[in-house]
Amino acid sequence: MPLESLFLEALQGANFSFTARPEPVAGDLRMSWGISVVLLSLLHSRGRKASFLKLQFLAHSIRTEGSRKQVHAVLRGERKTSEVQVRVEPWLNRAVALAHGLKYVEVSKGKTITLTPLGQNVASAIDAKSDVLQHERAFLTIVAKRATEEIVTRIWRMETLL
Amino acid sequence: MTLRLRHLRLRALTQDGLYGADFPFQAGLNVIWADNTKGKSTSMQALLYVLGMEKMLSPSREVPVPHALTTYLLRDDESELPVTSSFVELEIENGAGTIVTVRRPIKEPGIDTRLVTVWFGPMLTEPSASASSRQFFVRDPGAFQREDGFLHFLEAFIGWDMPVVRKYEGPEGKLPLETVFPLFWVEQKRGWSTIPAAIPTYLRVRDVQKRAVEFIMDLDVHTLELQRQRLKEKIEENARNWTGVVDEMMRVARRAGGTLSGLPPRPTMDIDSLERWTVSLVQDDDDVVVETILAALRGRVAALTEAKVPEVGETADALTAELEALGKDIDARNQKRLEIHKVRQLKDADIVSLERRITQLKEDLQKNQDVQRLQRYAGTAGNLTPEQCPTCEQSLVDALISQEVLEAVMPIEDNIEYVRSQLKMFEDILKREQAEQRRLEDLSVVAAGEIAQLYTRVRTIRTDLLGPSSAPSAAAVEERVRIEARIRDLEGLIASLGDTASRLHILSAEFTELLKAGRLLPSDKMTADDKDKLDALTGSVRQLAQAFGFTTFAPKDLTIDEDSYRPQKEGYEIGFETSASDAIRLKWAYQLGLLELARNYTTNHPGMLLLDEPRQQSSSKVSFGHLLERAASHRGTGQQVIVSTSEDIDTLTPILARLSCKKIIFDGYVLQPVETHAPA
Repeated sequence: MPLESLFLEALQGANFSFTARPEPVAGDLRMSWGISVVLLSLLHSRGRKASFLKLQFLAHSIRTEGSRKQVHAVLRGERKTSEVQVRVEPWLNRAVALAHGLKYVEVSKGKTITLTPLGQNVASAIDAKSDVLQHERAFLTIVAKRATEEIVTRIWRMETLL
Repeated sequence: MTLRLRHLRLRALTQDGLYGADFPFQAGLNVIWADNTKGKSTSMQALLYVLGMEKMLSPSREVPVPHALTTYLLRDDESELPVTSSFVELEIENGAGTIVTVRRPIKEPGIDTRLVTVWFGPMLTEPSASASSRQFFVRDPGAFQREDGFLHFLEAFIGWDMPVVRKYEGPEGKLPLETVFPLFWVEQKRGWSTIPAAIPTYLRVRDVQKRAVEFIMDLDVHTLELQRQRLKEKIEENARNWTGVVDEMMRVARRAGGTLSGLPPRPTMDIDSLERWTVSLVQDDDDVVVETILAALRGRVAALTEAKVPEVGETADALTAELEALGKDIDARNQKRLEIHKVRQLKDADIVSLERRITQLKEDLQKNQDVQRLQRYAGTAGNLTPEQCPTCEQSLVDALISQEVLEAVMPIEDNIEYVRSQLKMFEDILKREQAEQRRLEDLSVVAAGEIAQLYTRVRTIRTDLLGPSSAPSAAAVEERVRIEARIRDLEGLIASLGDTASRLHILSAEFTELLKAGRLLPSDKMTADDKDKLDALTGSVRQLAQAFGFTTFAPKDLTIDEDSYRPQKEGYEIGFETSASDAIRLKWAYQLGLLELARNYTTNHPGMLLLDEPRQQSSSKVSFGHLLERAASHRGTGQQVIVSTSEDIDTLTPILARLSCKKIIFDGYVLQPVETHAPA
């Protein structure tokens, strides 16, 4: 008798039960990844602060290698600001909210997010670990300071198209 | 394997004349006594220095001899006397009875301290002797490898053949002498701190302690290990070559539009299986074995050869019919080629999307791994994965998406595994798709070739039909020529594959030899001889420890580890739990044990033991006496023990009085004025 039918026979009349498996979550949707990216973005920005707009811009462009390259090209002047499309990342607001709850950041007037001294410590500690978030850190050290609020606004509003 | 020190001579030239000291050594126990700070260490260091062994102490390039022989020496009235030049000489003897005298300058203006002069005779004990001499160099990297290096000479003189060992970087090399000397030469500064010995690690030899002990005890372990390692490498190389040959044959077959099957993918001893390979070609959508095709082609050629070449007029109808059939055939084949092309385009798109998917998965894997590390850093960096909302204290799942949609989130470790398995699956699919893509490519090449041939046939038939009807039919001739050419191609293919396959026979024979060699290697890590030696060493270390008054635990509980060769108790290394004096007793026992082992077993021990200040840490007077007694018992065996000490002379004198040994006693400073007629 072929092996397969033996197997099928063994299954006949057996009782089955199914257990729900925990759901996998994409790495960039994990709390620690999102919060770390927010903290590092602020750490590398001028004055340890940034607007929501800028954080959204960084959070979107940091996610994949393709989008990171695109932003580099814009900052080098090889592409127009209108060529970058920014998607609103729903996870970012949650990450900022959690960071705020953990007292790592302050939000003033619902617009500007600033690292608290505690947040600075945590951000510096993450920044000092050379084995995590390598690509992200490399991206932020260049982009976070250069992408001024002005450039970010221009990208968001697609001003060059107007 | 013998090194015996016969005579040491130190000389320093000062404005007050020549100062110096002489140490006449004998077989058996030699005790050097001088009070502290009187120049004993200077002498002991000079002894290592003259043998070019200063790198045993440190990698530094400084002359390791204290000031008394380099800058100034002290007279008995404590006045300083500048040293203008100095040197050290040593007479040594080996197992064959050859005696040489070595001289090395310590401070001699204009003379390089890396130069060592060797006289091939007993220049110190027999001043009237004359002997030829030769210069060697020390301390530079080549001193051990090169013919004119002193350590190279010393290795041969002692009768050693240093084993080849692996290093942390760079190629394999001989085990340096500096790593072996500490096992019988206990130097006072660091030598007493560890068992088996303070072996320098800066020489970057892997498992240097083990290698040194194995060499001194002449164990086969390392040789066996090296043999196993080499054998493994050879077997791997054999397998690589094998795959290389099989791959090459596959490539050749594929270029001819065929596929090769039936060859064992890994090396095998079964020679018959090497003959079972076949090449098949695609013919009318079927894989047909090349031999079948050849037979058919040969049959056709024979038939064509039999028949006379017809005139066009006779075959016009048949040719017209064939032309029609060919037209249909070509159409059908073109249609098929088009289909293949379409499938290939779809595959291309699939492959691109698979590759994109794999890139994404790799990015996600990286992010997941980052998350894992970040969670691990939580303690140092601050919490980044709160389990409860910091504001309202509701419990949270670890995800930055709406908490309501998730029942349970996979723990990060499982998530990483999950992404990994996805990655593996997609990579496997990609591999399969790429293989399929290559197959389609081959098919389309074959189809293109066949269509081209059909077109040629069409052209020939057309030319026939347009020509005069009495002309011989070129179509008939062309067919025969074409088939013969095809037969030649296929025969060539088989012959070239056969040639390549014959290399597999050589590899198979090599593989058989390697397996046989593998069976000859003993499966145990240690040979029976090795075990005997280790047991004997254990026995004598126990007995000696007992004799020296080791009390931390019962000496019979002592064992010696088969891996590290360090003393153990019930499988645990003996460390801090022993008292300082017991640690020294154990050290004595171990070093004497190694020496005594050389009496009954073949080892590489040079049969000498030098203990510099063996009472560095306190141990009771009684056991020091025992040590000397035990050491004195080596006289009859031709072995030599040299002990230098500044032990209280009142305690020492009665002990020495009981023993037969050579006493070299210095009442004041070791370096004293010498008569100028002494040979310099």
